[in-house]
Amino acid sequence: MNFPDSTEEFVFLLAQHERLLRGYLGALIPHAQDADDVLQETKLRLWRAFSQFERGTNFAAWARKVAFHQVLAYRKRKKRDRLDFSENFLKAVADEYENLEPQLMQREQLLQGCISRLPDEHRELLHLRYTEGCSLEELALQLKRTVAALYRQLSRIRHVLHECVTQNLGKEDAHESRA
Amino acid sequence: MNQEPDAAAHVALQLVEKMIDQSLEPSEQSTLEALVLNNANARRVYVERLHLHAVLKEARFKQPQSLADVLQSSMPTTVNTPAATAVSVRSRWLGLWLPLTAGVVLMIAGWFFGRWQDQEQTQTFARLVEVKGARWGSNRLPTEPGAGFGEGRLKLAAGLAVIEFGSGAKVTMEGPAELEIINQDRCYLHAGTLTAHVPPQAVGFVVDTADARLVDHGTDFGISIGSEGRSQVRVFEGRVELQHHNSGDTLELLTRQGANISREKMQPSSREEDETGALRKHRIPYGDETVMLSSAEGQGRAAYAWSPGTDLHFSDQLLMVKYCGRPDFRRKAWLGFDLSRLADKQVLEATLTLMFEPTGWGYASLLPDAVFSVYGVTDDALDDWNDETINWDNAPANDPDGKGADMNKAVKLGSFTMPAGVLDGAFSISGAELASYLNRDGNRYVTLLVVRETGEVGGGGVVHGFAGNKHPLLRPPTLYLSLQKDHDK
Repeated sequence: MNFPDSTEEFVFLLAQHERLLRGYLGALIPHAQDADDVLQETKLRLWRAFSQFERGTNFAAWARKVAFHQVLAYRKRKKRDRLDFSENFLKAVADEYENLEPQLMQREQLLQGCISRLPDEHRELLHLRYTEGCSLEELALQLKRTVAALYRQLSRIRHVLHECVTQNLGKEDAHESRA
Repeated sequence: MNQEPDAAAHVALQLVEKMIDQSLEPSEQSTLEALVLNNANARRVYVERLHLHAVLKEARFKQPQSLADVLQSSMPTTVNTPAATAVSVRSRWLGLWLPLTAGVVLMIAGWFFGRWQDQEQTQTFARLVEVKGARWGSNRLPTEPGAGFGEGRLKLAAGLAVIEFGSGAKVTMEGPAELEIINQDRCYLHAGTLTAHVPPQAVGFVVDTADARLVDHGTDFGISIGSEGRSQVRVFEGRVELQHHNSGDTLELLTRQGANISREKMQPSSREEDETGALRKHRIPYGDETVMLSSAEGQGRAAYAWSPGTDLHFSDQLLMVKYCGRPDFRRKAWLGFDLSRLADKQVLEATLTLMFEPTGWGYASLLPDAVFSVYGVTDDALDDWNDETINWDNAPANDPDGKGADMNKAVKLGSFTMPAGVLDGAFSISGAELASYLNRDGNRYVTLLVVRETGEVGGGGVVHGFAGNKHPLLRPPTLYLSLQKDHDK
């Protein structure tokens, strides 16, 4: 890509890796709202430090390094009543991310195809939950279902998506290993 | 923790679901932590499932129409089908965080998306049942069979699309055409040509045009609107009734009868065939002896292969091509065309067209003008490749260490150049080499090899990609062939 300035380059790189980063922080910080806040801080930090990013190296790895520091900073100042993971745990999960990165990127690409194969009503439910951000309680009222039933159904849909992506990934892996 | 790996992963999965739901108890969190620390499967489940959850937060579950459509038309076209690459890339941009350079544009676009998203899914009146080389004008409509359409306009830029209405009427749009779906037994043809098959249960199906209304009484018919608003109707079989708006005239047409319609008047056409030849049932309207043959037809195939060591950046929809100095990350594409439809007709002229789209991988600025070449495999025994199992070593006539093909097994058919920085658009080769290669082929099946000959300066250069047979929007690789006429023989 040819970028007229570093702002556009940054926006482009961030757009490519933002979901990976969101997943990374979601795995390190159990409280969703806190994870979101740290994601915002991290993006701001990345933008300010972008001049130090070495072009041509792995942006995602650099972003995770910055994010990991933000997580540590967050842990020092966070409210005491929040649940927390041990530092060993953070390191193990961070390492797992390094190992799985190429695969997670592929998973991301395959997901949209799997979403399109879901029945309409499942897509509608995901839309309400994820895009509209409705809570299970709100959904229960709106759809006249119980919270427990919705919880089970959302779990199942995520499971179906995960399996669908895994299957397609399997195809690519098999393909690749013969190359 | 000494649980069985699968049991550990299973427990971890249950706890991850609770964590996603924000209902994880402190004791459960400790359990989850121990599982993730001590068991590789649990660790993998943990990372993969939270990643899925994060990606879903920015995924698109309903397909947006194009911004232009929203601006143009007050009538929403609702489509509940597969979002395409283009859409997900676009939406990723729209979902961006900082209102940086393109901030204002993005905000406006975001507003329209928001507005569209608010509109409830309306009723589905028709479904896409079949497509051939279809490309939609808005680039936002699905070409995968099964897609449902509510009330709204469909603009087909090229190719054929078969739409089945709820009533059972089956309409084939021939691009370029613009059709408005009004309800399950009524539509409005704004431009272009359609043919329709109306089974008994759908009698009464209506096609409106600016000048006349066509009411079907159980037929196969065609209707075409020319460039100056004059339209023609032809009944292949059965009976239709025409009502002319301006004059109030009505006309009944039976099998093999036709009519010409203008703003002022409507007249039966005395000719057996219409003047333009546009309305011949079930024929692709590319002129008498020109045929369009894609790699998605018949036994056609399309695939790409990569050099050993390539472990990143793959695509289901695009065929990727790249050449670089290092031995890994090279990619070449193979196309199979089933020529059996041509029988023994001589090909007089031939063009191969590929539809390129940015792959999103690598930097275009690291690559000068890029030359692509197309080779034809000469040994018919090599035509028996499989698009699922093709790889760098078994791909027909591959030169595994070079840019191009093994010249003992292939001939060069032509080249084209994509200017530096250009990553999309239609690119073609044509000429005598391609035509004579097609004529020389013995088994009515040809295998072509598409390569990029230009390497990059340093590493990290762009990966080019063009639509294969599974791209939801772009036309698959297509041969346009001018054939010898029967009476020339």
